[in-house]
This record gives sequence, C-alpha cells and structure tokens, in this order.
Amino acid sequence: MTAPLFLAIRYLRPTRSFISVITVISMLGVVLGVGVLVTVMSVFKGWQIEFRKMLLGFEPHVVVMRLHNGGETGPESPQATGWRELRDKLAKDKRFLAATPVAEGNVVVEKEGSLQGLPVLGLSPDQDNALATKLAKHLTEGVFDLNDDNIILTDQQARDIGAKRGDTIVVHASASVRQFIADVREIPEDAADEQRAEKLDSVSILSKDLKLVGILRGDTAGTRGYVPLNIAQEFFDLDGEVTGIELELVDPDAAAELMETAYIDGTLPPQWGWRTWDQEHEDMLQSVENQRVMMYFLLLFIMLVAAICVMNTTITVTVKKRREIGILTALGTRAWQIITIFVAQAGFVAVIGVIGGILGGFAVLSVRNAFREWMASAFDLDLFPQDIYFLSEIPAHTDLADLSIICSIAVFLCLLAAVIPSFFAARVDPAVALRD
Amino acid sequence: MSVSAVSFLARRYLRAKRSFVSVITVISILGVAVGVLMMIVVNAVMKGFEGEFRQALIGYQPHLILKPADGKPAEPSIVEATLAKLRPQAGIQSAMSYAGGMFFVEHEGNQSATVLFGLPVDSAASYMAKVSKHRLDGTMDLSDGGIVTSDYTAAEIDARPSDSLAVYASSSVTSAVNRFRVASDISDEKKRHEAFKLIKLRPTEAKLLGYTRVETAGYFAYTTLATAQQIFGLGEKLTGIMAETTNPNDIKALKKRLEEQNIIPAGWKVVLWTDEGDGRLAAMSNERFMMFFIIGIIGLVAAFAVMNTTITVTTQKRREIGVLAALGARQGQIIQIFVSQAAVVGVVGTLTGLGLSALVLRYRNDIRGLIATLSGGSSSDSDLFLSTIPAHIDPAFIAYTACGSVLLCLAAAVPPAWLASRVDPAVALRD
Amino acid sequence: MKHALTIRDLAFAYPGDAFRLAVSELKVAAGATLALAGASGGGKTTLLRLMTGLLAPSSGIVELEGQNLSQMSHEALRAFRLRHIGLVFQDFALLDYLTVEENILLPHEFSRETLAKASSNLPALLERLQIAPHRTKLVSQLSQGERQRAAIARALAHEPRFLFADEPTASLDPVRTQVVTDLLIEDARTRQSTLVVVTHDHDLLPRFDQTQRMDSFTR
Repeated sequence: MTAPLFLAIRYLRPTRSFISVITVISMLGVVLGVGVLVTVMSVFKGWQIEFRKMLLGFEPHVVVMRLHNGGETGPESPQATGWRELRDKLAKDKRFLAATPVAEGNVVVEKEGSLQGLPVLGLSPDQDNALATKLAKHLTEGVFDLNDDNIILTDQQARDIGAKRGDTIVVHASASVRQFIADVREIPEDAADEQRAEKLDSVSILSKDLKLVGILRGDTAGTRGYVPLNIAQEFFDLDGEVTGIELELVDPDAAAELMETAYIDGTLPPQWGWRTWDQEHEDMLQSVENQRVMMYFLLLFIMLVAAICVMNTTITVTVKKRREIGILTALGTRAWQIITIFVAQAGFVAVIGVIGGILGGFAVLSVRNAFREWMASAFDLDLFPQDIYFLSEIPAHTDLADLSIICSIAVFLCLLAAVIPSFFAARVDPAVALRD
Repeated sequence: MSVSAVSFLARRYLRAKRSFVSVITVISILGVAVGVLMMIVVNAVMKGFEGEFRQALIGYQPHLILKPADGKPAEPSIVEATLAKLRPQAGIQSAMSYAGGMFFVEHEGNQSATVLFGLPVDSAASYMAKVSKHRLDGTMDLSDGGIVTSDYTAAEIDARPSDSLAVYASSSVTSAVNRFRVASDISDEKKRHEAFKLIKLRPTEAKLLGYTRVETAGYFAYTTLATAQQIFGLGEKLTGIMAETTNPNDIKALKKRLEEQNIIPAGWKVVLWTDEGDGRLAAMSNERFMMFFIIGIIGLVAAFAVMNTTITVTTQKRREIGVLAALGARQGQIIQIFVSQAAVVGVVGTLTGLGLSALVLRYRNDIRGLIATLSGGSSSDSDLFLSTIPAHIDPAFIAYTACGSVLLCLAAAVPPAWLASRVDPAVALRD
Repeated sequence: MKHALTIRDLAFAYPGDAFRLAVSELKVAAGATLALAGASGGGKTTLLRLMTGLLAPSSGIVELEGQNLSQMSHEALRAFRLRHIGLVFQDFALLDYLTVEENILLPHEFSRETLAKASSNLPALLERLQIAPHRTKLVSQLSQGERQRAAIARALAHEPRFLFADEPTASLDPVRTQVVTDLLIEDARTRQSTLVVVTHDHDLLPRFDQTQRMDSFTR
C-alpha cells in the first residue's frame, strides 16, 4: 500500500459519530431493499415451482400424436407407422420412462337436466401405466381402477353433475348425440306416430353406464375425467386407433429438447407430432412468469431509493472531508484513489446491508406461515387463500441465481450511487479546499 | 409559537448558498417522489384491472336474478307480485320477468350450446341497450322467432345474421335422449314403439338476428319471452325475474335489503352478478393489499433518506442552534425549523411524485411496450382480453398517499430534530 | 439600591480542564457599565456566559435583578434572556444567509412581544451604527466591521435591561471603535440598563464605571 493511500484511508476513516448514524441508516435502507426482494421473489419462485410440479402431477409429460397430412404419408399409406409399433419402440427407448396409448376427447353427461360436455382421457388399465400411477396419487376417494366400465372424475366435475362415488353415471358419445338430434329432426312433422316409432328403431345413441369409482382432487389434478381406453375408443369412433401415445420422461423440464432430438434422430416417425405438458398450459405458465418479472421490476425501485440514501450519505461524507481531500491531493494522491476510498465505504455499506437483507429475508421466510396464521386469526384476513392458490402453505424457494442477481444489483447500485459524488469531490482544486 | 419565523428560517435554510444541503435535499425529494409515484401507479393499475374485470362482468351478466331454487318454472302470479314489490325498491333500475335456460342451437349440421334469456318485449329494449354495446354484426332488436347469440356460438354453427337455426331446449334434448335409451332397451317391439311415441324433440325454428363479441359480452343468447317460453315448453309460465341495478357495486347490500323486506318469494334463490367473479375479485383485492404493503417500504426507505438529511443539517447547524437558543428560541421552535424543512421536502417530493405518476399513467402503454421489449416477455396478462393496461384513478387514495408521505417525512425528521434541539446552547456555542 | 448584577462566591471549571474561575464578589448597579479586561483565553467569555445563565457555575450565586439564575427554570431563564438581555458574541453569531434586518428581528420573531419595539427602533439604530445602507443586504456580503455593528444592533434593538458584549469592537477601526463604545455606554446610561463589555483594548477601559481584570479571577 502506498503512503498516500495509507494516509488517505486514515484521514478519511469516519470518526465522528454523526457520520456513523447516517451510515447505519443507509445500511438499513439496503437491508430493507434486499430483504423485501429476497422474501417476495422467493415466495414467487416457490409458487412457480409448485405450479409446475402440480401440472406435472397430472398432465402427461408428452403426448405424441398423428399428424393429419393425408396423401403419401397419411395413416392409410403403407409407410405409416401403426401406433402399437410406435408405442413398443418408444417403451423400449431408455429416454422414456413409459409409453401408453391414450384417447382424448369430450363426452356428454347430464347436469341439472341439461347435457354438458365433459373432457375425458381414455387410459388402458395396464400395470405399467405411469400416468395412471401418478394420477392415483391425487385420489381423495376410491381407487384408480379402469378395468371395467368405470369412470374417474375430479371433485369439481362430480359436484357439477351431482354425483357421488359409487353412483352410476350415464355417459353419451357427443357425436352420437348430435347424430340423434339430426336424425330425429329428419323425421317429417306430419309423420304418423307409428312411422315415427319405426324410424326411431333405426336410430341409436352410443351411451354407457359408468360407475364412478374414484374422485380426484380438482385443484391439483386438473380438469379431466378418466375412462378405460376401449370405451374412449368406442365413444370417439376411433376404430382401434388412439388419439395419441403419452410419454413419461425422466426429466420433464427438458421435454421439448428431448422430443426435438427424438424427431431428428428418427425415433419419431415423420407422420407423428407431439405436444409437451408446458405447451399445453403455456398461457398459465407464461402468465405466472410475467407476474414474476413485473414484481422484480417493481421491487427494484426499493433498491433505487436505498441507493439514493447511500448517495446522500456519500455526499455528506465527501463534503465533511473536503479539507482532507484537498490535503491528500496536494500531497500527491491521485483522484481515482480518492474515489476508490469513498466507493469502498459505500461498498462496505452495501455488503453489510446485503448480508443483513438476506438474513432478514430468510428470517421473514421462516415465519411466513406462522405470520399468515396470525393474520387470519387476528384480522380474519387470509393472505394466501387455498382456493385460489391451491396450496395449503405459502411456498418459498430461494433460487441461487435470483439471489446472486439481487445482491449484485444492490451492490452495483450502491457503488454507482457513491461514484458520482466521489468523482466530483475528488476533482476539487486543493487550493480551494484548503482555503475553506 | 411564531409560525412565520419558523417557516421563514426553514425556507432560508433551503436556499443557502452553494450548500451541499441543497443537493442532498434535492436527492431526498427524489426519493420521496419515487415512493409516491410507485404507490399511485401500482394502485391505479391494479385497481384498473379489478375495475375492468368488474365492469366486464357487469357489462354482460344480469345484475340480479331471482328464480325458484329447485329449477322448476315460476308461476306468473308470483312473478307479477314480486315484480310489483321489486320495481319501486331503491337501487332497482329495471326489473322484468324472463324465461330461459340452457339450449342447443343447430345450423347445417353444426351444434352449439349456451344459455338463453327470453325478455318481455316491452322491457327488452332497455336491457338490450346494455348488450348492444358489444354488437359485432346484425341487429340487437329482439323479435319473436329471432335470437341474438355471441360470435363464438355463431362461429361454432357457421351461421350469419338472418340464417335459419334449429333451436332446442337443452332439457328437451336430455329427456328425449333418456327416454330413448330406456325405450330402445325394450325388446318387445310394440311396447318399444309405444315408448318411442312419447319422444318429442321438435326444434323451434329461429332466425339469427345478430351476434355480440364474446370477449366482452359473454356467451349468452337473447330472444323474446314468447319465443323462449315456446322453446322451453313453459306455456304461460316463466323462469324467473331479471333486474338491473343503478349501482351494481352495491349489489350485496341490495340483496340484504330485499331479503329483509321479504321481497324474495319462499323457495326462491338470488343470483348476483358477483357470484361468478367473487373468487377472482377476492384474489385481486388480496394482491392489491400485499402490494400496498410492499410499496410502502419504498416510502419507508425514502423516509430514511429524509432522516439522514435532517441529521446532516442539524449537525451542520449545530452552532446556529446554539445561537438561536441563546437568543431565546424555544426548544419546540427549533424542532419546528427542521421539521418544516422536512415538510418542504415532503411536499415538493410528493408533488413531484404526483406529477410523475400523472405522466406515467398517461403514457403507460408505451412504457409497457418498452418493458416488454426489455424483458423479452409480454407484460400483459394473457387471460385478459385487453391489450392496453387499465388504470383507475382514485382521488381518495391519492389524497391519502400524499398526506401519508408528507406525514412520514415529518415523522422521520422529528427524532433527529428533537435530539439536536436538546443541545445546551453553551456547549453548542463553544464549538 | 439593589444591584442589577450580583455575583457571590462563584467558582467554575470546565470538566477535565485545569482552568479555574473564581469570583468572590462582583456587583454592578443598574445604569452602570463594567469592563472585563485581560488577555485572550483568560476566561472572559466564560464569565460572560455565567452572567447570562448560559453556563451554570460549579458553586456560588449569579443574580440578575435579584433573581438567582440557578434557581430559575430553563424556560424562565430563556424568556428572561429573550426579553431583558442583549448579547453580542465574539464571532457575531449572525446567520449568513439572512439580511441585516432579518438577523436583527429574528429573535423577536420567536416571541412577538418585543417585535414591535425592535421594529420601530431598527431604522434609528442602523443609522447610529452607520450600517443603514446595508439594511437589506445579506450578512455574507458584509465586511467584518459591518457584521460586528449588525450584531450590536441586534443586541440593542429591543432595549434590553442588560447588554453583554464580547469584544464588540475587535473588528472595528479606531474611529468606529470610539463611536461604538460611546454609543453603548450612553445607551446604558440613558436607559438605566446595565452594560458589561469584555475587551482587550486597554484604551477603552477609562470610559467604564468599573473595570475588572480577569487575572484576578483566574487561577
């Protein structure tokens, strides 16, 4: 360390108590800024993660389905790969945990005297049906048994149609209902009753009585019902075909890349396309991410004002030490060295503030659920209602990347806030400074 | 207490020559301005979203519906009696009987289902005025045998205004389907045919009059009361009563009043426009409260800056404080000097913040575009149909924020000012 | 006749300081003038502060108009100072960023009772001190001498019964020194107020009724 620098630090070290007070207060500002950022962003991130987990808990990771191009590569063409063939191939592929055929669509059920569409997924009751296994985790009542003429609904759906576990639900194929209406309409108005009756003989509706054997928890298991695959195939007029093959992956977050690779290396035939679980729910996921980014942006304003506080403190300190700066400059200390000292002081404030903020943030996070309970009991105010956020506890996940960004921004802003006044202070003519 | 001396000194302090006090004062003003800006803008935008959602609901949901809880048709006599009691009630703008429910509409092999409201001819015009705002094509004037649908339904059945549609009450279809199922299981042909004869599924022919924008008007369809009664096979009976209110935001209080005055017939239930959106509105209100708290922290940190400024100033003016005390100023007066200085910072900062918020809110959509480009995402919520950010300016809230921020500055200045005023003049003069 | 200023058995020392001040007896009548003489650093300012109640003695009594300053409440003392005492500080203690007029009227703005009197005395006072042209100028724009006279004007404006001046002529040229000293003494005699002046200018001493040398008080 050079002599001027050494002198500089000694000279400029804060000795007066009042400077310490304002330094402490500006530290507090940084603590608050960082603390709030850490707390809020951790909760947001936690929620984002829980949300993704929740989706993964019921949504097939990937659904592979035939593209309807027709022509040379249409399903009828000899080169087309049958679904059974593809399914076997995919099941053997080490990259996929499981491959099961599914048939998706809407069926019609009765609700309060009206007919209503109900989205269902047809699943085969195989032992190694990974999707069924993961869905079964969400059962609140009954069993996930698709062996017979069974149906499994979410609690919301069951409530909607007024059904309880064990009830028999009449399910119609939508196309068939449409057809029925059209057929009946075709019967001329003036036809004799007997004629009409005969005509009706040739009409049919595809319906089945299904037993409600299991109820899934709606807020974590999505909005679909589940039926046996063969019934779905019948209802959707698939004639042995399926609407897709669902795949469970080891790493669902990398679903898109994996499928790209599978397509390129030919694992997936050209007539087949895919959709991933996050594509299916893209809107919601994007919305959550947007909110997180907006929140980040807003909270940075706290850091901005904390930096303003630090700037004020630096200005005060540099003015108080004006004479000393003049002496040092006259003795040969260079401007950047002087700037460095004040910026270092601000850096010190920033670092202590950041550490304090992180500790404070963690402290608040550790009591977040207790706080929520207290608010509920004292003010009857639920900060995190389960019916909106589907979780019983406030989530939190402190992402190391987020934390690093927050700390860097905090320190950067404080240093920037200190550089500006230090720059002006260091430029003062020593003759002027010494005169005062 | 001499107010003029105090304010006069405070003002003079701030105009001091070449003083760094002016610089740090200006910077503190900036801090206060940012706090006020954030508070007002965030609140305005959040309230805006909430308001838009409420307005959307109000815009297409009937404000108030009364109907039998068991879903059976309502007797015209009860309906008339209730209407007579309901119409003169304060807050009720209009009330009418209606017939309606879930229905199927079919056109050239395409089908769709939605909810139909059949309105009496004399009251239809006033209600349809509310719906007409969302007109996309055709006419909204109801006539017998005509229906107005949403563009979603029209697209599903591939129909244009003045196309002919086949309309069925949903319940008719259900009972037909059920009867058919039971009947087709009967193996004996004669018995089966007897059962078949009971199946009636006559569509009502209707003309598509026009359609509305589904994003703002919802999925409902409208027709005349007579047509609806025909479709649903009600005869002279009705489904219930629809009412519009003068102050939709007060609907819950209105419901309470109606209940207390026994206007609601026994066995009937009340459906409010808020029922559908209650959950979401509660969530939005919740979030606004949380944001308020968080943004308040900005104000707190700005107050720290003010406190620091006051500490600095009182330290700089130590000797002067001694002089003033020696000359006879009271401790309270000395405190007042510095607190009023902070008041100036608070007032100027608040006014600046108010000005900035006005600017930001005015150009909010341009700013949003900028943020979107910078963050690489779109910052408007994807499930809202609006492409612009709504903002609701609440004068009361702005007033509270302004007062609050000034008070906070004053409070921040008091402790250091008080400490400074306690200095012994002899000690202060000695320096 | 009761003395306006009485000191008995006064002893004072700053904590941790070796310097000691001791006054066994000092009396000044109303309308009389006292000069405290001695070299700089001799404790003159300290004694002045003790006389005005700004400092409390370690032991002994200071009485103004028969009232024991130590027994007066903080508030009563403050009010007394505002109404009845005029102070001229060694370094003027003017507020640089206020005008001459504002500085003079400032203390009275704090209580208003004496404001009318001070306002009406102001023009004549400025004339007598020959700073009338600077009435609305900022103090920072004045020379040392002009500032000193402004400080004196502030002390005199409300016609106080006591005037304590700490080196009021130190920054003045010989002619003005005479003028100002005469002014102060005449003012005291005319209004029957008590004047105590600290000075190191020996030529001025004969004009005063009493002179006290500080070295007799210090140890």
